[in-house]
Amino acid sequence: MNFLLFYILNCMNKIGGSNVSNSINNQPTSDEQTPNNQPDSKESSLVEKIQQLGQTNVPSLSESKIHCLTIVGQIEGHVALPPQNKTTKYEHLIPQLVAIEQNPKIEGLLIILNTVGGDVEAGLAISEMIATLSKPTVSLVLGGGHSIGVPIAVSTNYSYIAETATMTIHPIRLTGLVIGVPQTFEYLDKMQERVTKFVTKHSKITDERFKELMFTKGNLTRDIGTNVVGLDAVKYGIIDEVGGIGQALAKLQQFIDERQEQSKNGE
Amino acid sequence: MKNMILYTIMPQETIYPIDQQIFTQQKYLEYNGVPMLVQSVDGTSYEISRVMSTDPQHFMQYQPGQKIFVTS
Repeated sequence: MNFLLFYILNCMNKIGGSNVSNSINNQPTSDEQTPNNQPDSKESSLVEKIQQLGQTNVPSLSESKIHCLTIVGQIEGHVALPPQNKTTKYEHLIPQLVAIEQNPKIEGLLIILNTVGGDVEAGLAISEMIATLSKPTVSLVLGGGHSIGVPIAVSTNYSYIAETATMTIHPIRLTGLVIGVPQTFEYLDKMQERVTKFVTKHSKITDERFKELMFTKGNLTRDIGTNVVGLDAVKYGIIDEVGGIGQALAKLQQFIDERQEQSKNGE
Repeated sequence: MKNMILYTIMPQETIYPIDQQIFTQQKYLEYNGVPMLVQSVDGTSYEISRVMSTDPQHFMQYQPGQKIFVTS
């Protein structure tokens, strides 16, 4: 019986494995037509550009004043997830945020979120970095900004949510592990408090309201918490406004102009 | 027996062991000043998996799936 189960698992693993490699091979690059051993790399890049974009020249501006940070998939913390998971690695984001803070040419930062959540400490680290950035920041939640995505979304100067986007608010937990001793509970409670404090400090939602959403029954399948959709997130005071890319960029530009005005007056 | 649905709360990687080779095929590098995650195709060429930059202009230059040639 054990052997049979192992065999089945093994088979499924093989199927899964081949799917992964298939999806990589099926990417729409017809590199077969491009000679691989082309010595003239300039010509081959030209051919590739035509193949991929249907044109030789990509419209290019010099350097963008507004940089865009996309937080997608899982927020990866202390454990490296296998490559089939789409992850946002905090050790990559943090140096990028440092570079954004240092580079005088970058005037504002737009944060696009579509994340399922992930590591609490990594998420809080990113949130704190964004919150303490001296340059104007605006966030936009598209699709989903769940779990630890909530503090990241509220960490900016102004936050937007798409009408169809959702945010799941739920308590911290250790998936699949049983909490056995009171100390563990205390520890998790403290960890929970960190998230709650950050969210209530950076948004208009009250502590009571946030906890109420977190511990609501009947909204999520066999779990406590609330799934907040677009307009509701604004109503509860988590997010500032419902909007899209246009509004978000306009707001960012407004902050940049205000900041420039202030530095002019200051001098 | 071919198609079996496995319902479990366990993370996928706990049940199906990860092929460590996948990790070695991927790497991070900087190409023309653009940081990216690439997948090895053969010795000198790589396929872009993800552009890791925050500059939107870099995304106009490089797309996932595009081949790059690295000589080192």
